[in-house]
Amino acid sequence: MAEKHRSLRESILYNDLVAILGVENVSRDEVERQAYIGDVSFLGMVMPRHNMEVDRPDFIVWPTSTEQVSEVLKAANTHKIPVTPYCGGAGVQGAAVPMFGGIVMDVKKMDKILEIDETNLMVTCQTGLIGQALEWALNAKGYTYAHIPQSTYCSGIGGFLAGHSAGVLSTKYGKIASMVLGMEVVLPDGRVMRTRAVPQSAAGPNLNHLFIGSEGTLGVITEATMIIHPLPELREFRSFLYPNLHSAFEAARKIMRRGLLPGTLRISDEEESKELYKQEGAFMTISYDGFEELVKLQHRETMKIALEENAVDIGSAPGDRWWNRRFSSVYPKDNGNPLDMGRHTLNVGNVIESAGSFTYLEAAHRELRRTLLKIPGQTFMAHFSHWYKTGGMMYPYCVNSGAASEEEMVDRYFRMHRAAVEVIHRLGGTMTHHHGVGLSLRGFMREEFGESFEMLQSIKRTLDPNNIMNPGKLGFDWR
Amino acid sequence: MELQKVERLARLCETCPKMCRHVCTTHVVTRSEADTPNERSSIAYRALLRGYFFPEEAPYMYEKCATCGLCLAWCETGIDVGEIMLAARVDLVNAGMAPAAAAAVQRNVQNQGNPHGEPASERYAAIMDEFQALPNTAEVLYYAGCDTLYRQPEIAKAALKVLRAAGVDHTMIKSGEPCCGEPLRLMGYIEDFKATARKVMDGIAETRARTVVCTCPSCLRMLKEVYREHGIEAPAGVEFLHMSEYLLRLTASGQLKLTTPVHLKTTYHDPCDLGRRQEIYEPPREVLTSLPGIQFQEMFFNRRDARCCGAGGGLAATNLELVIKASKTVVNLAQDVSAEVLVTACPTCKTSFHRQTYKLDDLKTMDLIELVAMAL
Ligand SMILES: Cc1cc2nc3c(=O)[nH]c(=O)nc-3n(C[C@H](O)[C@H](O)[C@H](O)COP(=O)(O)OP(=O)(O)OC[C@H]3O[C@@H](n4cnc5c(N)ncnc54)[C@H](O)[C@@H]3O)c2cc1C
Ligand code: SF4
Ligand code: SF4
Repeated sequence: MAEKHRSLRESILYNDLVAILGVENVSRDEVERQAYIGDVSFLGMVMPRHNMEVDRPDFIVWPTSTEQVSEVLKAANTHKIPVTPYCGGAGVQGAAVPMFGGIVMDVKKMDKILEIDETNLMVTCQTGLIGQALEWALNAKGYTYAHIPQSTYCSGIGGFLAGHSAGVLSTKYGKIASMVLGMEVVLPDGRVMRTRAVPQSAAGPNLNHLFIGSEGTLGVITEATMIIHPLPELREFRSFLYPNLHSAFEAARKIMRRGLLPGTLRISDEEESKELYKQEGAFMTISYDGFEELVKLQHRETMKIALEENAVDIGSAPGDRWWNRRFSSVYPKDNGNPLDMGRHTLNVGNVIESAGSFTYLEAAHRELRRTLLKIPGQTFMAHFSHWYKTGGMMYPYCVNSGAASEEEMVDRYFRMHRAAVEVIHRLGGTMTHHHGVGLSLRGFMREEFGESFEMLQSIKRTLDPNNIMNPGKLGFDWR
Repeated sequence: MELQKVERLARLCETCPKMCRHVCTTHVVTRSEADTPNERSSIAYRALLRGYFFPEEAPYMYEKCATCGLCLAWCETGIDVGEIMLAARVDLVNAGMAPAAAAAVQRNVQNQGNPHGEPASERYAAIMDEFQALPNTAEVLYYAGCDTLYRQPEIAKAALKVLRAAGVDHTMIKSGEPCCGEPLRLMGYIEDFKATARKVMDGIAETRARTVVCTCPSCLRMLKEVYREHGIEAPAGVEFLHMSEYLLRLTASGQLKLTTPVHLKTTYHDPCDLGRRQEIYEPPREVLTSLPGIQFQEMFFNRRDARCCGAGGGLAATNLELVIKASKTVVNLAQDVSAEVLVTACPTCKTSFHRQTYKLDDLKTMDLIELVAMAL
């Protein structure tokens, strides 16, 4: 590896960091810097693998306490050097890519569970814990925090909070924003703030929401208190085949309207139903969990609605299979994987997920499909999960093949996103439900927010006048 | 390059979003992205594509992977990052880039017959009387291995005591037990490994034993499986067993009677080479729970999901600091179930845990065979 020429200034910063963290928690090792060039996004992982040049971070730091985080941020302000918080690095939008080098702050050594409060159903932990590690610790005591994104093995609490993520049980248990009660955050200048871990408060705006989804641009979240639940007595799946997507949507709308609270409600569009289940129509898998009588009642009511919409009952097997194999699609495959983003293909891909009302979802699916399929080499296949009384989320896999060069891959990537976001905004949706903004969507933040983006930008400038925190993300000032 | 043999594994693993990082023995200690199974594979894969390693990459192939198989247990693609590391080590040896600690292991095995560099003459020091009394040939051969004889000789003592008590016609390799060669394989000296494997098989043939019993799961795995993968066959009709499997036979036939109560609260740690690598999960548990008076509780992670003691992959030689940190994971799990004895069935695991538990008043580490000897 070509050793980068190091300046005296960098050497002084290195020693400032060592003074704060100890030599074992600061690295400028070549191999380690290479390991932190990106996350698992197309721009942050696939493109560097195709030899597109990227800046490597200059230093990796692993703070072990809030105080150390604070001191590092102060040092970064002194040296005016960027800091990119990094948890699992499994974001898919490039939010954790250290675009301008500087310091990557890996929070994973802050992995303590501080308290499991069984009386009040709360857990307080540091934010470097990998999701599954927290889940196991809770399971061992008979609890769950019910946040189970497909990335629970590879992502962590800091990433879930700063990335505003959603687990596969979000329809019943909510997204991370409704699971977290209180947080500790180190602001960009090193000050430490806390929000109160209470069920609800009317004392002004809820500051948790300023930091959830902030993608490391407004500070480092160091601790969180979240809601936990006793492990459910029963979790039961049922699948249905609807004659078409419209009738499946109608059923979902009625299920939510009736106040049934499914853990999972997953509808595949016609393409995905054919691909995954070899069925003509729209496939729905639904689960309820909790105590037995309630689960049985919820399934009975769901069955009535499904039959009203002319669905065929497929039984519990496909749902059980889906649950048991819900991580399977992620593992690398030899061939035939449309999402293969290995270095030997010039495939371009991302999930351009969006959210909106029931009316939006149906219109957007139609329009997005029509628009994207006009792009040469484009595929489109979607499912819908994460539901609310007012609407839900659409999750289309958008893969494009046929780019001739690395530059063209990036061009095609943004062309796909430009086309999709135009449709999403025109039809009244939001351009992301849970994957966040990162590098993929930063260019569309002004369109998403309209006038109020200036307000967000001025909050950023106030909290982070030197623009050290993850510069270039969320559409904030490029460096 | 040797890595070409595992090209498919490394190529696929490089594209994974790190779906096994949450279990990786060394990653959970260092938390560095460079120490994830995926990044290890990626480093190896990039080296394969360019045709050579950068010197700064060598430590990541040698000093960071316990070859524990936890990644494989969690990988739906079926990728064993340990295997990729071993191929990389062969390439590094061939390129003259093996770290000093690896070269020292090789020298020690060549010169003294054990990876620790202890004098060959002291191999049987702790069991000299028992050893000298053994016959040249017998029905059953007890193969003890270097870690047992030099680091945990109580295991060998207990094994010989139990075999004697059961009236088994047994011996050890009287001409001098060679190292099983696993340390050489782990350090990438594959030709030396094969040479020592041949010596072991000759030693077994000398004893005319029909059954070879090991207390060390790694020795067992070499003798039973890995030699064969390298084209070195055992004498015809010889059966290889772990001590726990053999004990079950002895108790079932009534040859071994365990009658003295052992009033201890125990838990059991599955050694990687016995559990995940050879799927011998139940025999040690059956033996342990059959002891009179014993109490037993599983740790939260057990069997396929058992955590590693940290000392796999030759890390005790190349990165002891990491082993010490990693072994705490299992010790903490044993404390979570309030065990008084953390039982294992591997001398290497015992050494790892003992480094933690010798300072504790309420938790000790023992090998299964030691408890069995107490119950005679
Ligand atoms: C296979 C796979 C499946 C996925 N499934 C889902 C899913 O089901 N639901 C879902 O919502 N997402 C999913 N994702 C996307 C991703 O896992 C989430 O966006 C997750 O929130 C990222 O967490 P992370 O720990 O990997 O964060 P990172 O990628 O490390 O970071 C994400 C952002 O958070 C910032 N950050 C990290 N820690 C902190 C902190 N302590 N303080 C401040 N900022 C911080 C980073 O700077 C970055 O901007 C999936 C991704 C993959 C690869
Ligand atoms: S071993 Fe398997 S699960 Fe682990 S990183 Fe490689 S491909 Fe992914
Ligand atoms: S073999 Fe063990 S230590 Fe090595 S990468 Fe896999 S899980 Fe990690």
